[in-house]
Amino acid sequence: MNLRKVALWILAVIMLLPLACGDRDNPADPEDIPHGLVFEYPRIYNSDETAPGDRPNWVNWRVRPAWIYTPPGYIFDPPGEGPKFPILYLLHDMGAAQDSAASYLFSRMDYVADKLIASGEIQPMIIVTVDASTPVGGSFYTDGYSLWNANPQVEKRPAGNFETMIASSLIHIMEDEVTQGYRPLSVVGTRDSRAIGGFGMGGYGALKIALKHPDLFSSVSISDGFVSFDNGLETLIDKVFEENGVNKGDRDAFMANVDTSYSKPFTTLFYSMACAFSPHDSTGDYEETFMADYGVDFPFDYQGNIVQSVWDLWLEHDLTSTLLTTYGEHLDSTELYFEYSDENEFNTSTQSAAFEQQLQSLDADYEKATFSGYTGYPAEKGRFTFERLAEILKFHSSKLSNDPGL
Amino acid sequence: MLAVFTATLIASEAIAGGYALSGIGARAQSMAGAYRAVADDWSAVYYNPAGLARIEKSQLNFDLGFASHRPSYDPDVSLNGYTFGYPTGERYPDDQVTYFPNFGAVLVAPFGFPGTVAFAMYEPFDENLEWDLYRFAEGYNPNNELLPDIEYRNNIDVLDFQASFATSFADDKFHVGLGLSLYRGDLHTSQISLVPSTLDYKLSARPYDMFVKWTDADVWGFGFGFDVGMLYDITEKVSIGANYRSKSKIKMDGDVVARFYTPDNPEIQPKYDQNEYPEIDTIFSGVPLDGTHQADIDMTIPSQFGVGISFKPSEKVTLAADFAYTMWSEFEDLEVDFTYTRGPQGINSWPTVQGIIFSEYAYPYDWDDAIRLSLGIEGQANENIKVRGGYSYDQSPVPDEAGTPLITDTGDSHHIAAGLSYFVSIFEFAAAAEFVAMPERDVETVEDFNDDGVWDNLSGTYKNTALNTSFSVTIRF
Repeated sequence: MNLRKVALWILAVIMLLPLACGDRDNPADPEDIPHGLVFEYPRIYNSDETAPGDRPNWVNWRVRPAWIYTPPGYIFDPPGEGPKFPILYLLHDMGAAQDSAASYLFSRMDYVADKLIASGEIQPMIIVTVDASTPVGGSFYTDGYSLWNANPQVEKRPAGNFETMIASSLIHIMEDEVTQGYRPLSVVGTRDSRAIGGFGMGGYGALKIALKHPDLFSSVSISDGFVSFDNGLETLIDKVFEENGVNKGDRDAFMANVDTSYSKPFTTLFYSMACAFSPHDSTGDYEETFMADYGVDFPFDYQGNIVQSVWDLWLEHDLTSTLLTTYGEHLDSTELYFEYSDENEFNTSTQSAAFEQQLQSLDADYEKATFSGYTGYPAEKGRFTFERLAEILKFHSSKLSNDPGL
Repeated sequence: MLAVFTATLIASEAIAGGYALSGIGARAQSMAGAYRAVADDWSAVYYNPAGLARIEKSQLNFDLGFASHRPSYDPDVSLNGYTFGYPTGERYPDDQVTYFPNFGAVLVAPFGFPGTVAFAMYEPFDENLEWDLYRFAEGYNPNNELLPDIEYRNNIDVLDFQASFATSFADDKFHVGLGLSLYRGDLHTSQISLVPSTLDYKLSARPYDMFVKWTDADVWGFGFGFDVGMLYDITEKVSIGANYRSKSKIKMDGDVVARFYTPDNPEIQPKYDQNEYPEIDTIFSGVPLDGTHQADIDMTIPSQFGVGISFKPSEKVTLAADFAYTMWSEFEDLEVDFTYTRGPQGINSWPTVQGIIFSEYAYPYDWDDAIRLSLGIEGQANENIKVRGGYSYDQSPVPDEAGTPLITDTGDSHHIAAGLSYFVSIFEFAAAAEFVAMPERDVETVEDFNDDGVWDNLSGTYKNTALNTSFSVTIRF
């Protein structure tokens, strides 16, 4: 072959070189996954009392809606014919009435559950959440008092039987009772198939209810929970003054201006806890802590000093110092998971450290996780409920049984 | 016909640093661009216009380049483990074998003119990338069908219509040249931007911490520049050359669409007071909202300085080396200035929506100046055939942290080139092949270079290799 032919061959090869580069295929999108269903159950009662006729608006927060997620494969019709599922009760954080009950819907619990079920990371389960907000922000899942009788001057009535609502009414209606045209859910119906968890205020409520009602739940999860009042809450008192623009020592301003609102999370926290733990006792000497607009006593006075008598009332409901001591033995048969953000504005990391110490002193088994946000977006204000919900579901799924024989 | 011709011009690939093509002309390309002191054909208009003065016969040149580059991107768009909607796994753009024609006409001493005149049309800068990369973050909006098939696009085409003149002095040993360029620039660029939510904290919890915005700008315009060069034949065997290409600004205008892909969560709206939050139902409707604009965008062509030397150890062999310095730092950003805006009905009462689709924006390019070193050799195999080879090291102007899928450049590249010419009568048929090896680029984290709250890069792993070929026919008369 002479040089001329070689040159022509080279020219031809060069010309064809780019054509040898074929198309490459991108990874296919995941196929559509089966979806569960979210629907609203409109009426869960948090009180047996009859609303006073002259205050009809109270009815609106006496009757609570619940939201229910049923997994793919749940059969509604004919009733009772399909498989039975474990059930998880999720308790929401405190917040304004307009968004607190829906916080799990905001986080799209259906998205999270659908995906985890489709990937096999969790077993199919029913998830229920219920509105436990109050006009001041939250109930702390505690049975309160009927203040409107005790003090007719109080314009708002923050109390309600929220612990009973969860531990009795809600479970009964979801699992046992045919009411108002709704059928009970297809649940396994055993303790081993029932779990409870919550975020913030809901985390507190979840463990409290599980400890006080040990026959109901086999696993408990707490995310950023208020688990130790004595470790971290005191440092938030200054923020209440700041939020309300009140100087320490200004008694008149303190009494007149410290008011709960959507934009005052620390004030909302203290009002919520006061409504749950220290409704005003007119027989005591609480003139410096009586917040008359809401009929509650604050655990600190206008100078920012702790008032021990009120604080002691709060500690009677504290998980670490009281409830774990009283009911801690129930943890022997209850799986516990707690997690907290090191950026949480309510010092849940400090609280959780004391809580963990108490668990260790009780020789209790538990699982623990911590989390943070990302630069410029710290994990505070419930921002990461969406991500944490996945971890909560994984924990409960690993503990829940769907065997009715157990 | 004109449309087809124009379409072929804009379908090509960047295979050198930044948006630059690897060079023009089959002969120069097969010597890896070591051509500033050689420059004795039409491609001197690009490498060194002084070389035009060396051309002994007038010539017409038709050049057709093919390019196939193989970029890939494996997204890792996350902060502290939290993701934002870019599925992981190696992904590829729309693979294309693209081609781009160049043309040059060189007239030696036309009408007794004391020098050489050339007219050329070629493409010195180009980028052509189209990606399907984005899916909504989980829980944001389940309907990914709403997204365009191509979310990321960067088609940059700069055509240089150049008129050049060169002449010789000092017994034809010293040559100078000047080229005047009219640039035609076309830019079609699209991308997803994640805009931090400014809503109340309950409404901006994940996955609503970042709103999804897609922008699409399609603009074109013109700019002017010049290229000056000198070439000195020190001896019969040794020459040196140098050139300077000026900075130029192409002023473009055209249409811009800014689209807000709203989250889909019908549960939110009923919980909020419409008087206090009048745009909540719109923001969480799941419906895309468009702002349509007319806009001005200025694109900078960076200046460049280059020197070269050639050496002929024998009659049949030429060795050459080049150094080029391109001031990519002049290419600071692409600012989009709206001259006319229009939005959906009701937008006047939607401040959040306005902030997303009516805000002017910029693409910052935090690039560095870069060098290119080239070595080339040409040998006469027989009276009809010349063979060539070359190597070049091309420094990337793009810092690792500035990597995005809109740039094919993944780092300092190595170019291996080879080619040949075959001479028949007045014709020269030339071919060149060039393989470009680029390193893997790891962009560790997303960053906001211009502090507008929006990320300007995308983290992940970028790879690329390229194969460029070129064919030319030269007619000498």
